[in-house]
Amino acid sequence: MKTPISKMPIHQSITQFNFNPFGGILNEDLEKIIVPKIDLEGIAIKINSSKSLAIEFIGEQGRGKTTHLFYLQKQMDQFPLFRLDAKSTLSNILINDSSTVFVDSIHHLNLVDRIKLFKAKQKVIYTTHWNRRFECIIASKDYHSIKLKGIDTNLLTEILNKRLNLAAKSALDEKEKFTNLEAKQLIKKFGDNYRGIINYLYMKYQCQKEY
Amino acid sequence: MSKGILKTEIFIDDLSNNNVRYGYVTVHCTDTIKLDSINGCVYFEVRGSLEGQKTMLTSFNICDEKIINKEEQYKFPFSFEIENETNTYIGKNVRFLYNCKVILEVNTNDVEKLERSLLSKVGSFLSGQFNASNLIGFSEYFEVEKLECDYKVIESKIDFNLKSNELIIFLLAILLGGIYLLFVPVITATTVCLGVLCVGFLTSFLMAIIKSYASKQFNISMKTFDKKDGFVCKLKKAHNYRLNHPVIYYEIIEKVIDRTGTTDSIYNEVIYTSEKKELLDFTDSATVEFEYPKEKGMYSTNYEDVSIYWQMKIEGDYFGGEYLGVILTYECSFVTMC
Repeated sequence: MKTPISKMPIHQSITQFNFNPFGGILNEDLEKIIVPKIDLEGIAIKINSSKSLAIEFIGEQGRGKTTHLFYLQKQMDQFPLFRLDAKSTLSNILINDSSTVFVDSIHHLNLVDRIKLFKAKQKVIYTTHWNRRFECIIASKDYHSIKLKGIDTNLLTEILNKRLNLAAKSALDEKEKFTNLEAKQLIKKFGDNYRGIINYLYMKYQCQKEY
Repeated sequence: MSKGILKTEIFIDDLSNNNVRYGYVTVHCTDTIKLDSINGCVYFEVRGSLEGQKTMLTSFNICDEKIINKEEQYKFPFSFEIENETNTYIGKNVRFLYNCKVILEVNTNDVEKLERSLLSKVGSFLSGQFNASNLIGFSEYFEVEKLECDYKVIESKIDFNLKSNELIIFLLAILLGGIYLLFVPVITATTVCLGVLCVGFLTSFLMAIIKSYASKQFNISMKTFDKKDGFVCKLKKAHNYRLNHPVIYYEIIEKVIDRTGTTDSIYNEVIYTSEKKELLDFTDSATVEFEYPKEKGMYSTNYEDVSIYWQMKIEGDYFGGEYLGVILTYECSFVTMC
């Protein structure tokens, strides 16, 4: 009989960790917890070898678009990263001399500004919920879309255990780590919503209140 | 030949004296090595349901040029000072932590004597191999609790905001929708869509006018004063009107903005609710006293995407509102410090 997700055991006490393993992570720790599910090295080579290019990471909320964008930019940190919010303007990006820019949440720019951005910068790598093929065609930009979808049991197990290791005060035993069966149960409940899984585990650990 | 194993530990005293913390680091190696320097730094970290944030508070030198003899234990004392420190805080969606990191700079001639896994790695998949540097970093989390610190309200005069009432908005939308239907000859998809837009716009417009009028008409202001173990609120109405069954209380709210991913999320958690007090005989002014929470460390804080704020609330009904369920809710934020 399968264990109901709400009764899924947590093998560790929260006292074994310096912080909740499933909280937000520091930018400097990104490399320690990411398991890229796309060929980022290939994308980096493509960026370096192209003259005009738009690469979008597309997918629903919580599928890892921003994480992959940040990780890629960390490997190519000679190019700036712009994190847009409701107050962001196009001029903040255009004022930067770099011809290649990384843009998180491009939907905060309106259609006209997105076209202006694609025209002004040679290479734009960005995250989006909706594809921006139309803007790229208008701006005569070589368009490349990467859909972040689906989740793999082994991959999820590896990600969860990397987070445990990062937060642990000392090395964890194998029996204290997540198993593929548990990862499978989480996938059954949350599908490929990686952030949904992380948020669920965050609350589960937080509720122990035993720091 | 086997590589040298280095063992290190950081100890930090629990007690702080005038913001100065004392500690020491122990170093033991199975081979003789030379350290060019030992340096430390202290970080303030914010972790939880938000992207982790880290700020360096101070850095300090522990020692320079030291030979670590094979199989000998060394102890290097250090101290550091943190100004304006925030208490270590464990909330529902956020945690404030302090981390002390010690970095050993191994002499480049001795790097090969050590296990490579100990050495920090630099590089990326674009620059080729990951190369080991000569730096070894390790860290320890520690608590900061200003146990002697009492709450203290900042003396101020604040106007309450009147919150929008969902029931009034709903009734107004129903009324406007009814009027719209009276003037529409045929109900089609187009007229329904147009109706929703018109009713939505008019409801927002009228609510803004009502709120503007009500805020002036039903204005309440508050002056706060600190007193031992609590604080005093002096309330004053701008106009004379009767508020039925008014109660006053305060809440402490933890607000976290999670900017992870393409869409922001905001988490508001009430971490403390005070006793509710009836405002007896509140004709034009009233005075209420509150005690501070027994639990420490919840004073007003603002750090990047995290804030802990105190909010005073008054609830009461006006003109038979209790029968309609129309409760007027007033809110205002006030500041406390440690």
